[in-house]
Amino acid sequence: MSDKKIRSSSQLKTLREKHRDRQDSVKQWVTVCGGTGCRAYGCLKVSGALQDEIKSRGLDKEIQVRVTGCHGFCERGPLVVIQPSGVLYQKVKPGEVKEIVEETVIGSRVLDRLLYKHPTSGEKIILEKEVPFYQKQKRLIFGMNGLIDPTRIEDYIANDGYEALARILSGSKPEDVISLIKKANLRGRGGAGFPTGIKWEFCRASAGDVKYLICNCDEGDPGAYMDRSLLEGNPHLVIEGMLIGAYATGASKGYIYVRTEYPLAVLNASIAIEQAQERGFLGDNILGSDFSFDLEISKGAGAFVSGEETALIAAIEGRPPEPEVRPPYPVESGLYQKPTNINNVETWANVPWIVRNGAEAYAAIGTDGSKGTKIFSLVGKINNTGLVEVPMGMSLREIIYDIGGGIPDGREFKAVQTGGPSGGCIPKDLLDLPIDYESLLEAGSMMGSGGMIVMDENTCMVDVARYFLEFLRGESCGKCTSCREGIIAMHDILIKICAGRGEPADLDLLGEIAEAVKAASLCGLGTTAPQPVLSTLRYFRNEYEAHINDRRCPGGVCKELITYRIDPNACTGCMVCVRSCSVKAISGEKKQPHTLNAELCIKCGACREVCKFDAVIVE
Amino acid sequence: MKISLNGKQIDAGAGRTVLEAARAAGVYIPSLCDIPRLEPFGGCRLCLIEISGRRGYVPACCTSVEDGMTVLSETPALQKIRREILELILTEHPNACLICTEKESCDEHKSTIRKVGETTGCVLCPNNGRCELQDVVEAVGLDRVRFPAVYRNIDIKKTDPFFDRDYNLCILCGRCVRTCQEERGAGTISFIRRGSEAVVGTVLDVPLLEAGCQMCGACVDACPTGALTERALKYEQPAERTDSIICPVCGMGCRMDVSLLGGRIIGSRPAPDGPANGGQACVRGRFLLREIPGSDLRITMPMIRRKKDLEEVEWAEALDFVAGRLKSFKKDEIGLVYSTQLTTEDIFALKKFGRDVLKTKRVLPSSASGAPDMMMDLAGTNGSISSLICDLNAVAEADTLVVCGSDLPRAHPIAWVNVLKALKKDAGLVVAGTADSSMDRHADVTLRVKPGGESALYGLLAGKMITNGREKSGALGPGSEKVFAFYESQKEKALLDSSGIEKMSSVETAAALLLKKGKTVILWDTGTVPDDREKEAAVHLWNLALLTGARLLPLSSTGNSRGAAEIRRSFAAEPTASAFTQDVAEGRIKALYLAGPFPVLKTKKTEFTVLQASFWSEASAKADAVFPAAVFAETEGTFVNTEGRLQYSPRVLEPPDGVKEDWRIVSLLSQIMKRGDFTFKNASGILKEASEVVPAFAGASFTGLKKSNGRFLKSAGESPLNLILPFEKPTKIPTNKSYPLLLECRDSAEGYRELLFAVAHPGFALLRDPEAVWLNPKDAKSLKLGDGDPIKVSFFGGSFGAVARLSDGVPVGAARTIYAGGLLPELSFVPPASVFPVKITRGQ
Repeated sequence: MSDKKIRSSSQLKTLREKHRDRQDSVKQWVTVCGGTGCRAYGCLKVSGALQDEIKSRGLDKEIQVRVTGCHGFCERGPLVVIQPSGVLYQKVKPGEVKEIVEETVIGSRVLDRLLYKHPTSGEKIILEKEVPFYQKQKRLIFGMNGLIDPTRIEDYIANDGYEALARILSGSKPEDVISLIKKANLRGRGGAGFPTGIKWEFCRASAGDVKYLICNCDEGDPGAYMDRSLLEGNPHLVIEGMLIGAYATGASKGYIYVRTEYPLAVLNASIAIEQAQERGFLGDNILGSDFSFDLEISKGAGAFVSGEETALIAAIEGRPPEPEVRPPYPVESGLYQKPTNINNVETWANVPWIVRNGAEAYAAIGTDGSKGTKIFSLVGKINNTGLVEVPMGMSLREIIYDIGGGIPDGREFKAVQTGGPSGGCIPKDLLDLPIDYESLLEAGSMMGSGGMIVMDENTCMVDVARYFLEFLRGESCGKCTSCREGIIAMHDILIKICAGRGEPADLDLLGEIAEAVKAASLCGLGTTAPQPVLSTLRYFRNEYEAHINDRRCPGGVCKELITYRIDPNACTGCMVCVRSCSVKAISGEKKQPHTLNAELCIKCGACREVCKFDAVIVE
Repeated sequence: MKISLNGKQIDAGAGRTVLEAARAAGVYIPSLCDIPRLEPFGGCRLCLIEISGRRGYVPACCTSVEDGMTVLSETPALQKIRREILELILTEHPNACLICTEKESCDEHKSTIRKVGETTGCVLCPNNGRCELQDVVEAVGLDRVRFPAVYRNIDIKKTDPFFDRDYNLCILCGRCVRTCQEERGAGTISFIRRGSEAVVGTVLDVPLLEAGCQMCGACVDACPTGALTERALKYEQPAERTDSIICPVCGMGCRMDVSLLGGRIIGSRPAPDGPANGGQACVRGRFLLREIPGSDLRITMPMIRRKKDLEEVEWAEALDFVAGRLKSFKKDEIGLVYSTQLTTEDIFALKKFGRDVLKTKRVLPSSASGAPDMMMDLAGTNGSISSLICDLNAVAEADTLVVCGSDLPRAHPIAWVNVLKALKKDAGLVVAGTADSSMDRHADVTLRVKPGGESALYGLLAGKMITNGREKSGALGPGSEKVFAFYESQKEKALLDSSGIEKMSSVETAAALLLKKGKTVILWDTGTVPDDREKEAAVHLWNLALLTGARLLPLSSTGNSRGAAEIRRSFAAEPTASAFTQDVAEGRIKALYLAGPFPVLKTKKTEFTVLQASFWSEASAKADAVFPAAVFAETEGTFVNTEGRLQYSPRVLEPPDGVKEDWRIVSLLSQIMKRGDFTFKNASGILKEASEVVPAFAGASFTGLKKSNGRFLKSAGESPLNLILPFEKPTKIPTNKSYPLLLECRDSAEGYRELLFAVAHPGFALLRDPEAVWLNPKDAKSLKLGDGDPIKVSFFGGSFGAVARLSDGVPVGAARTIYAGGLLPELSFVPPASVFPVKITRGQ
């Protein structure tokens, strides 16, 4: 095999031109979202069918099929976008491929039924960029995901890939890079928002012959998947960010710590590392400079606490992931007691953009204290589930209603939970809150890694707190007393309240334990674990009181406190609920209002889910 | 370094944590997870403090003092949070015993024994009264727990010997886990699972023994609650008193705190201030000492065999009987064996008895003093040994360590604890031996030699020192030119072959470590029967130490091997074990006086055999007279450990009626036989005489030793050391086609006098099978043997029965056994050498 190593920036430039030309020679390309979500929908069958169809027509020279990373609009997958026109087809099935090729790719006619329909106006939208979900986003980091094949380094290079690296290697000093990042005011996207440039500066200043970089892709929050999508959809972007970080901090070895439960991210990152090594972006004397750096993947076995820096280091070293007391901070003494700089996937992915576009351009985006964009995973009771990248400072209302399309079935918004399991719940009154690190903290929540779970009126906030505490009960590492036992104690009290056995004194006790756990715990997991309790107590104390004083669950969720009945006026007698009931608690004749026997009912909610006429009432 | 603690200026001392500084200043900050010897952990959260200029609360155990730091440990906010944390701890630990309103009267009247469920304790907790959690609750003044209780409902783990693990009582402070990892280097246990299910356990939760636990008991000593409890103590009342004695079993000289109740030892824990062991022990000292004095096998009455059977008689009659018979033998017709686990005074009295009363030069220790003895032999002509050998502290302070011929974690655990201390400070470790060991995973390089290949390796290493540029200094003695020339002319490739090491590169790595600047210590042990081959190894190690400026620590196998070796130097030379055996077999020894175990009775019935023993054994059945002798705790005296540390051990128990100390028995005999000067009134008098006769003991007295916490033996003055010219031709192990395997016999003190621990406690037999002969699975396969099969091991001149055990760690063509002094009937053979050719066949 011939040597593919690139030994200078001019060689890289030549190669980029070559790949661009090759790209231009293709008349059209059809991108199919190949993110984990769309794969679950069966997107690979769609892309396979597309390839077969195009080949069978002998068009594979002019028309290319490209399986890309996650586009973000997960609600409507599998997604197919025809470029360069930008026509978006959603929920595409393999059987529709032939028609797509014939009509749209060859014939330039749009297939109406595959277009996205605006949820309120009902208007059909043809182009991807005109879909409201995308319109308000600012996709600095995530944009390339929809354009390139993550397993082809050529695609990345053609899209300015490794340009930022080449630029800093030809003339910038490490200190220049650090001051650039500091000027851009990039803050850690993993949750705490520590200024990245300052962290790098500390790491650079730490004495040590060997220094390490770590990319944190542990991402354990339920419902959050932006890091996964970045690493599987554009791994070279992360690698390039790390290379720049390594140059700035003086690190010679890096690890991408990624959970085994992300097989596609592991695969694509491994492929990318191999390609980068082959091309000489990783290894010794990168691009002909004195700078050397190499990367390795370290696979974790899915523990939420591994996202904590010191626990993550322990995991890479092969020890159980238990956090350790800081100081010393990892930048002073981290992996194998050497200075270690840890940033999460999204932080690394921001770095090349800043280098290419300058600190001013970056700092122009966002609020005073929080610059740039942030990717959120918008999930829960929301019309447009998916990944959204917005400038810092956008209001929750814009994200939830303009981008997210609001709450399904016209139900009321109740709260949004941000920051993962140990974040807080933000109520309706604060919908106009501009999203940045500080405002979220003030509201009793946090940025976290960017999870955003929307809840509607049918949500019980006590149950939400119980749910998150249950998650944390299993995910606390168990090392420190306050976190381990405090979570158990809070969770036990919440179970009691949800079961209708709460006592008035429980609320104060809950508050007291929560404050103690927050103040006394060792790591970030423990100190933030009481947030679900504290924020729901702060904003939804009335729901707790209803459970305790009135033995009533306002959200209609806590089984011990609710009864189901059928509203005879609304029921059309369609029999659907009768068939859905597994315990035969519902009886009735066709076209006659049905009745529900509360004694048999197990409150599973199946009838309510299937009823199209809102006739199942929960009280 | 000064800090302000609660408004008071205290001198903190650099490098300390705030918690350590507070403790030193007498300020109490509660903590359950911190113990001084371990790395800070920060788990229990009880020691939270406030430091001005820092956000929130920080754990005092993990915070280093800084000059001028202002610390508050008793603010109302801290007190509140501390009580809350303690309440949280008590939700996971049965707490009725801690906060019960009737606690005080309960201690006296046991009035509330059924107030709480049996499973959750109350006074039924095995650690009631010995619980650190109780102490902290008391100190913080907690009298209620408002949070919901959590009962883990985990089965108590009882399958392992010696101690139970009840994780329902565990507060997850991690002290056991860290002790096992940091202090013992074992890492047998860890936190397993997480969150509310977090618990301490082994990999896959298998029993400790399966996970490689050596049952040292350090975790039990570290546990602040009743989660880890010595099983035997669960059935005992609290001790009446505690006394410190020296463990007589192996050569480390551990000081043990023994708990005494009703004239019995009910338990023993390592003394935190033990000069040699510093709070550490091993399974033998920790769990077996209590089994010794009260053993069912104790002999408590003198016996003589007038006709067919042994009959119990009064002392006077027995003494007359024995004295009369002994007188009938001529000079050198009696063979005397003495145990090296006896006190210095007993050994001295026995040696003197042999010389002056029995008038024999055929006096033999029951266990060879091996490495220390050989080094002393070399020192005799080549310089003072005290400038070459070192103590355990030097091991802990070393920069490079070389372990030769010993599986330290099993055979000399306290030496291993000190090696670990050095490794924590990034010392290099070279492990040279014939079989694998748990040390290997800590080693920078492991040199796996074939049995008998040691001297080739050490010679190779010594040669590397010269060829790799160590300065050839004339200061290393007059003959050093010849020694240099010897090493320079060595054929490295041939030596590598005869050592059995695969790659020269690993020898090079070890040599590079030895050539590094810094303090180097070589720890060395021999096999069961030290022979010429090992003498040769000793010469190479001696030279290696001189060439690198290293210190040596020769390891002794039993409690007073080193003391015996010193005494021996003031008496006539002793025969070798095989010469002694031959003398018995060929009738030159007509009578035996056995004051220590020796498997000689199997080969030949002598005319008259006296047993001076503490326990019944196979030998007792063949004796003509038996004198019941006291055990370690029943007699006062001194022991010399492997470092040369002379320590005093008091009499803490009354011997059973009819039992006398060893020195007293031989004194009485001497008086009746009217031979020798045995006018000792007590052990103290013997040490006085010994101190005049044996130079190393000069000036030693019980009073002095009691006051000074022990002392190192006097050396014969510093004198320059010389390099020693090795043998021209290396000694080879004879090979024989009929005996295709090489058996290596290693000593390990796994009993006391005639009592094998595997017999004394079934749990010890699970840990160390005394009948095991370890084989490589490949050899076992060709012999059609499986693990656990009975085998017959034959060698030129004898055979014995054993059980086959398979291990990949044993090289092909080799076999290994721990020689238990011939105490088991099947194993009662005398090994002809440390390594000898054998044939293994399927046995009964």
